[in-house]
Amino acid sequence: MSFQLHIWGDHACFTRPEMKVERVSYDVITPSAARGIFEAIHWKPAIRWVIDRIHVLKPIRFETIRRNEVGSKISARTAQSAMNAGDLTGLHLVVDENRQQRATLALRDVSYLIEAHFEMTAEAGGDTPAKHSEMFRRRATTGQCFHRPCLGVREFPAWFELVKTPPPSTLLESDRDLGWMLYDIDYANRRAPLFFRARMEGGVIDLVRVRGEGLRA
Amino acid sequence: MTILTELATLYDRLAEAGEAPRRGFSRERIGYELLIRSDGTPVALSPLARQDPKRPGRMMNVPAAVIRTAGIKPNIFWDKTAYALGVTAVEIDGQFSPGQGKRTLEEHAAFRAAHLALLEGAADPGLAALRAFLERWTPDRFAELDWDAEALDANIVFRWVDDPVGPAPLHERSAARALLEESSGEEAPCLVTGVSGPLARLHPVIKGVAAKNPPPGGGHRLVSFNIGSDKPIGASSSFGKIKGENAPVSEAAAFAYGTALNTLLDRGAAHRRRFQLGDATAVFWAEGPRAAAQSAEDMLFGAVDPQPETGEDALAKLRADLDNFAAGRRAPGASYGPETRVFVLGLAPNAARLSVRFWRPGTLGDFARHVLEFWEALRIEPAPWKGPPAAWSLLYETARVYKDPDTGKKKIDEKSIPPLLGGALMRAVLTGAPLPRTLLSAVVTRVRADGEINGRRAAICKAVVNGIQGEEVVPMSLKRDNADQAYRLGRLFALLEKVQRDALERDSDGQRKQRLATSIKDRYFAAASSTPARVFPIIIRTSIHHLSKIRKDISERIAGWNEREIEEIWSGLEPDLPRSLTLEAQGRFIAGYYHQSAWRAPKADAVFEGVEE
Repeated sequence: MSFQLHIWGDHACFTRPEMKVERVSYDVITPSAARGIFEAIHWKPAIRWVIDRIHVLKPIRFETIRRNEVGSKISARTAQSAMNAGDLTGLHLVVDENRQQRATLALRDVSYLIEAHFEMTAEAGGDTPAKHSEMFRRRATTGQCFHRPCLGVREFPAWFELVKTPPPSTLLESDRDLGWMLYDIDYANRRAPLFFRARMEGGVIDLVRVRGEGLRA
Repeated sequence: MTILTELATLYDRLAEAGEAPRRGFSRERIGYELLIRSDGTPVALSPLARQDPKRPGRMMNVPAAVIRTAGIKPNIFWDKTAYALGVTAVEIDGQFSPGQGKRTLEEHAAFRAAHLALLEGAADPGLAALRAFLERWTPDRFAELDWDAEALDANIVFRWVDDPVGPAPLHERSAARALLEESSGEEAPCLVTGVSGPLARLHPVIKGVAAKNPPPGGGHRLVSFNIGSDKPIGASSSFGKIKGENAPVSEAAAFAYGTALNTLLDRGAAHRRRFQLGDATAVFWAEGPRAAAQSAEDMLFGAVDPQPETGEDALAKLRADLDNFAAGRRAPGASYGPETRVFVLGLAPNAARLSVRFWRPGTLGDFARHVLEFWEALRIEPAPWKGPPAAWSLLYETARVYKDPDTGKKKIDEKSIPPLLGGALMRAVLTGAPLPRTLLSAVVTRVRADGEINGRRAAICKAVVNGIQGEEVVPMSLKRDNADQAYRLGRLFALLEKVQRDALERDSDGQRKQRLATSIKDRYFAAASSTPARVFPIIIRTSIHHLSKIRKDISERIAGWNEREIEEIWSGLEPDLPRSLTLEAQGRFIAGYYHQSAWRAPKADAVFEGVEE
């Protein structure tokens, strides 16, 4: 079952792994970020979202932001020992003492049309595709979501609308080689990152063809 | 494409042209070469010819410098004397002589051990000579041989004098190069090239980005992970990866992008490709065959940083070239066309790392068009610039000016320039986007603080306001019928100030006799430009007294002229003055003030010259 979701926002940051401390965004949304938006609207273990095509609707523009961020995270081991002990002592992060100032090269004023479909997984049990398809349609139409979908980072919310016909594009340069881009994380295989060569042709990144050509692990 | 990919591509061109060192090598300043015989006897320590009269030694491609932080790590086939010979400069009675610092002997021991291990069983006679030398050398020999104390702490390379082929440093020998080629680390796909290879765990240090507090190594890294670098605990490491594994770039690609960037940033390079913009250091380059790319880069540099001193002809040619490229035509005589791809990258240090302030891939044609638009937007009469303005010069209008306590001269406090403004301004210039509103607010703030309104500030106000509104709200020169309220109020304010000066600064012959200590501009400008309804009634009332004083004491004609001017502006204002003006309106106010105060009557009416400073 295939859906077309129009998503847009004022800012976006799809961090490149090769420059992620002083974050620099990819030029366009990554397939995994797009998957996250679909999952925010509707997801169950029974289904798996697959992104087919990304239409870039607005010119790619960058903007620099500098702000204070937290420099560390609570380690999994601390959390584990707190769980075992049933005691929260020591499980904390003092924000003021973990300050770091970081720069972000973010995208400004983005708009995409994402074509995606879902596949049934082994967890599906008696579920039918029609059930999930209708659930997604109803939820997306009324603007429901499990959690607020975002454009790469939580600070940049994504707005969405289920559409039948693609909105008009104002993209200036429709063909572009975007270099190597993260496709997704292969959670089944030691969480290995998968990459693909992103080419925008006529404003569209065709992931069906990319999967046909094979991904780089 | 991506920043790193484009830089890695550029490296191939630079390496081919001999502008960048080969892989595994880096360009370092080497002061001396040590000549050794086959049996390891040192012959002499001879200085290398200076290329730059100001700096000793010569830039030379040597095996890539190791990254030293706190630990002791020797370079291979070259190093400073502390490592290579075990001596450092020790000051005794103002004289430098060979001696040992706290760690010098340890450093030399590390150098020796690393080389003996590397050269063990080396059959090459040159390398064997170095091994023999290191086995026999003791640091006190430096003083015994009475070598030049100037050489202390300089970098030295080794040369085998009995070489039948000719004089070349040891590391140039093919046997040495074979030894240096080694690879290590985990193999993974590289995000720059897409080819699997050993990953760079540490990325190259980038030197040449201006920093307030340069780090000890003299450079920053573009990619690094300082927190949790050894254990995957920091906020920047993910999925249990450490160091460079978080940013999978192969060693080859990391070297290529680092070297290319360092070459672009090199201050001493004959070919200029860097410029400073506020706290950001920007580099640019063009794609294509070497000669064409270089002349395109030269033109780019001229456009970003036009030099009025180079003369009218050069500026006229630059303008003609830009006009051609903007129209999509090849300029006469140019070996590159408007479709040539150009890249601009702006970097600024953020603690120990570099952050990307702006990144703009584009074509020469687009670039030319945007630069011309930028110049056009800033045109104002009377012109404050001789030629077209350089983008960075606008930033100085947002800086605090202070008197240097030592020399008494006026100096610009560069630190007071808002840090992100440079990047935002450059992006506007290169993309043709409206100039940033933050530039206007910085200029307005500065005007309110120091009360100086010059043509450059007025030009910035004009350019930003027109850019934001998307139409010409602020004219290029004084426009009497412009109905914009803020612009008119600015003109009115300038006129009222002139009336005050005419009344109080002139004697009965119309000559200037004194200077006011505080004019209405000093007292009321900030308030008048932000809350006109509160201030204008007061200053209009005082101007009535000034006008009658002019009429009585100085000249009926001057009073009459001023009165007519005030009436003319007044008639175009709405009955209720605005209570407050927005930032853009304050920009129009400043532009109006400048136009009116800088206005000069045509020659025939020379008596009624405009306001004097």
